[in-house]
Amino acid sequence: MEKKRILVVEDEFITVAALKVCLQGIGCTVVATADTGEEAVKAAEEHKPDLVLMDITLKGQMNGITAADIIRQKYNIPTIFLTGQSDDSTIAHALESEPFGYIVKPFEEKNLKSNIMMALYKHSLDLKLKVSEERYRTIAELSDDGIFVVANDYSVIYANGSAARTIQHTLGEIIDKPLNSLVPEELFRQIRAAVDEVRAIHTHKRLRLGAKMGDRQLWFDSTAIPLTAGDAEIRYVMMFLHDVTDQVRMEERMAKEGIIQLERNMEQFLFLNDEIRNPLQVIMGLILLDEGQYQQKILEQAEKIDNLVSKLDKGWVETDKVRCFLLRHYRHGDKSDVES
Amino acid sequence: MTTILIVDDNPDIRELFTTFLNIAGFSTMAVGGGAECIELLKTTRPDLILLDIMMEPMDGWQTLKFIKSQPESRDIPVFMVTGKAITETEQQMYNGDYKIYLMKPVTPQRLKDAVDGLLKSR
Repeated sequence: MEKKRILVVEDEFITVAALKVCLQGIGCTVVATADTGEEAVKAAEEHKPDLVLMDITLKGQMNGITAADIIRQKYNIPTIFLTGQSDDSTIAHALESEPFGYIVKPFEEKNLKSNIMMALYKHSLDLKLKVSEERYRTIAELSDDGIFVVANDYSVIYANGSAARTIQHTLGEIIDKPLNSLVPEELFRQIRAAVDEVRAIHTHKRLRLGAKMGDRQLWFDSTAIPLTAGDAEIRYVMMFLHDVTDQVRMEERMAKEGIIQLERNMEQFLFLNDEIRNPLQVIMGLILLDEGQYQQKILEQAEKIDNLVSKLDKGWVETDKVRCFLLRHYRHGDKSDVES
Repeated sequence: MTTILIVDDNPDIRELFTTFLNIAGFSTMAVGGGAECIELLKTTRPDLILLDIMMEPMDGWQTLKFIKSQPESRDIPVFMVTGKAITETEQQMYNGDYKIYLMKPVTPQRLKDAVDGLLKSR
């Protein structure tokens, strides 16, 4: 262990002396000592030690727990508590300030060393996690897609700015609230179904969501991803919402325009077929009246044309079926205008 | 002698059907559109009306409706002779207004048979 810099906060000077000797023996340097909470905070700021050894009970206004709190939040320095008391209420109270260790006096040297090493190791892990969390949080915040995480009770435990904007709430209004109180029922039902499914199948699922937010119909391509803590139990589900409303609208418009084009084609068939049959009628009629030598052959050709035209008629009928199907499919229940 | 009114906007068709029906022994009149047909029916009463559908500005269906709306003409049997296939909608709308729906091209025999049939069932 390379030389660690320790701040000792202790008001019994005998303990301080003993600690100094002990710490030097295990390869640490005592950079400063303090005997009140206020002084501890000042010393932490001035010397920026790697670790603080602090008695829980201190003279002065500020007790050790409060001081440790401040030092952790402001300077990110871990604290190990020293105490002569080991009753449950003191320990419970101490744990609230997230200490990195807890040593009961009188301490033993090996106890001290192992506690310090554990504390510093845990601290470095915490730091890595915080940095990692910060990195992912930044990525999530920068994303245009809405990202949110629901717990097993469908309360929202995380949402990025995009998600908040989509569901038209502020982040403050979202966090820890049940999802069904934040979004329209139609949307909640779809999300809940997706969440339930990924929890059951233990893998992610892609789906399209559609809902009315305010007066606008919105569409999202969504992915639901189950989150585990490394074990098999799924504690959270993360959802991505990628807005595809414009895309869907364009598809609908193109389909409508396709339908209109289809109808125009059909109208042309009607007129065309009738037009074709008129000269056909004249040809056939004249031939039958004439009874010339080529009568049979000409009648056969006329019949061929007639059959082709009848096929076109049938094609029109098929188009009619296609049109009805498309109209039914793309109407979505509201009065969409297909007539030009 | 039985008189048949031919209503078709194509002059070649009018001429052909006139020939067909004359050969079959019927007397004929021919007009080129719905308006002329209506005008004629004010002064004349044919025994049968042969009606094309695709005509402008008044199409065969409109003409049919008019014929059926007038007391002088509503009892005259009408048959449609057209190059347009009938749609389900049209069938529902005009069922009962026309007697027969014939698709062009028709042979002289076919036309004669249709007329004979209509005259018999009058």
